[in-house]
Amino acid sequence: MHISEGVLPGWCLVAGWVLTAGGLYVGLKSIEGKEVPKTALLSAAFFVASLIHIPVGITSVHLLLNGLAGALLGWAVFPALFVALLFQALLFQFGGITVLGVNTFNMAFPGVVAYYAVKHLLKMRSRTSLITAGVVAAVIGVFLSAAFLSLELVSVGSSFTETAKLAFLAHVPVAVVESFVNAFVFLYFKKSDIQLGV
Amino acid sequence: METPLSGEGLLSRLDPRAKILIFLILSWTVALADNLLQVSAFIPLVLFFSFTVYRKLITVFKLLLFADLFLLFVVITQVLMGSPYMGILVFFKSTVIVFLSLLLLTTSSVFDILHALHHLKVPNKLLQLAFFFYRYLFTVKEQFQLADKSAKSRGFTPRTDINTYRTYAYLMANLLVKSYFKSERVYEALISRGFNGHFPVYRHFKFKSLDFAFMFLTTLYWGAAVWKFYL
Repeated sequence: MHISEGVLPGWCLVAGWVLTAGGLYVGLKSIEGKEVPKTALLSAAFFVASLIHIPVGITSVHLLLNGLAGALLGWAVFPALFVALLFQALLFQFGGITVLGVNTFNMAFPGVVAYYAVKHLLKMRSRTSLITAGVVAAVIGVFLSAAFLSLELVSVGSSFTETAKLAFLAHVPVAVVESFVNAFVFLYFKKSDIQLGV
Repeated sequence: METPLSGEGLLSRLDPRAKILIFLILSWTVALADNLLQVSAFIPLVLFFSFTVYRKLITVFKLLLFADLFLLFVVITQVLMGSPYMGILVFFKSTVIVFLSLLLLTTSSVFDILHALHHLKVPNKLLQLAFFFYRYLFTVKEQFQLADKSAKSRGFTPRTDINTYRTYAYLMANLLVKSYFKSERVYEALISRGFNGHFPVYRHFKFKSLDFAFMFLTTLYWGAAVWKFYL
């Protein structure tokens, strides 16, 4: 879920932009030369993949894929997701420009945490470690994003407590589905004997 | 795919640099509003801007209607379980900012916006990322649609089961692998053409009197609204 324009208080919007600027600085420093088109194309692939409707019971969900993106891109996940969210705001009006800082931080920072959490698991390349890495990346990516989103909503005022609780709960099915998807993605890379990463 | 209102109306003729600056000033001011009176101060300006794209108003309303499920979620939960006033305030703030974004940003093409951001000192590497992202987004999307169609033609029906999740995961992984290798070919092609990290631009912006008038009058309106309703 991306926070839309006009919901958050000013200090929260500014804090989001400051933190995202820091993440962008580190992320952009970490990519050079051929890693620039690589990050952009992987970002485009994540953008397309996150638009897929995946069935869950009578409804369907969109995946966040920030944990998976973080695992593959490291700190470059900040500029990759920033650009993807910028285009979502420009082309479809999802999210927005004043909340771009907050939305990027909500998605990208858990991606960076997931990167450090699964880095060693991915290097082991055994079936169990790859499945664990997929689940860990999904759980960290989705629940940390949901926690940031809910805390930001609570910061608006006490009337937002129920909204924040519901927003967090809405992420539970996403985390479950994303755990399966991430694990299968890592297994696919192993089967194809491919190591991606920027 | 282009921005929804690209090339539409008088606002599309303005310098995108001026529009981005004015958008930032207005949208941040609306975002910082505490009450409905402050938000309503900008509604006449939005209506005036909307008049310039009157032929595309249906497109604008369609975009607004489907723009943000999150807003709908916030407004409904606020009206039912929180503070209805907050729900209405958030709805108006968001709608005014999205209107401003549609009318000021999406009346320029994506290329012009990125070009303008370059002039507004956004880091070159970030803009390169954005250029590559936009250039290949539709190629990547077509690739996925082809793979999806191929899976469905082989009898794949999405359900709530592990097989569906595995199939989608493999489609995504395949897309990531293809994008990864394509990026290597893109980079080699760029290098072979002498790419040095900068995109040459042959069409330059020129600030016209219309741009000065737009900036002056909008800033005047903004100043009056802030003085009357914010201070």
